[in-house]
Amino acid sequence: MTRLAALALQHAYLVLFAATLLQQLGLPIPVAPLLVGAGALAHAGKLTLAVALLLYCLASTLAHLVWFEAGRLRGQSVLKLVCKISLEPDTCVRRTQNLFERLGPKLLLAAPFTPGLGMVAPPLAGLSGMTVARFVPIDVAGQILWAGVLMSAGFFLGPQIALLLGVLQQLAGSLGAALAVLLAVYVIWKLVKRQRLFAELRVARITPQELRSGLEAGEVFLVDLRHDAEVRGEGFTIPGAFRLSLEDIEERHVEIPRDRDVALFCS
Amino acid sequence: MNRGIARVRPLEGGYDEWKRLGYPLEAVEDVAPNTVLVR
Repeated sequence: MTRLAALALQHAYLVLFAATLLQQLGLPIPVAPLLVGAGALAHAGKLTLAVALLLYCLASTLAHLVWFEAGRLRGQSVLKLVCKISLEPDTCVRRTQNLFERLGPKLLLAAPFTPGLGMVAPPLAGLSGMTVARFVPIDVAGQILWAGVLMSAGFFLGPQIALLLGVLQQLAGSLGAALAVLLAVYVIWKLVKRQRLFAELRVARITPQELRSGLEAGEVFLVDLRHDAEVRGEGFTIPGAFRLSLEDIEERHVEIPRDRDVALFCS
Repeated sequence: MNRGIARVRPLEGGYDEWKRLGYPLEAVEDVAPNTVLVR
């Protein structure tokens, strides 16, 4: 065992608490293996499962409350900030808003199990106007479910997992390289896709100045594509804008006149 | 498919840029109610 691992083991509770807090605040720290490890340590009698679970929930809740409050106070801009961390910031905001509209608080239960959603759900809950008293119990329930599954896996499958980790360690050289290449290809593909989209948009965009004079001259029909939740939070739109959600385009596109240029906007 | 619409142009900078420039805004009163969002 390395000195670092021995030190981590000695301060297992502190490591779990700090790693969870930092990860939930946005740092890319893998906490899932720590939860599995905590389960395995509990099986070996070196750690109390209930205390580990309590600390995990405490750290998660603290971090989630920070995002929840940020979402409540700063609204859409916080959601965008969180989404920037994902590789698809252009669709992240709308997709998560749609999910929250559809699932409501149930999203908080599913969030820990869904990659990328864990960090977005708390600010979205704050943005939606949910109260802290309603947010915390559902959020904690989701954390208990998530940590419970992983800690149970570690508790019951500890020796098998250790064996698997040993095999993986032997393969780490080639496996790690292959994963790194795959990840790099994925990131490059996403970035190229975004750049192509931006290039297309740059050609077609209308400036606010052009739009203003186009609207005054009656030459432009303007469509407000912002999400309902966003419009509710903001309370304002551009004068004369026609409200239409992306989901309604198939049904309502006939309401858009064909004799004028059409301009559209999101946030 | 353009559905008969000649040209569609996204607003540069979106709503945020329009607001930042201090251009006129209009209050929205007919947004769908909070059906799912629970307080």
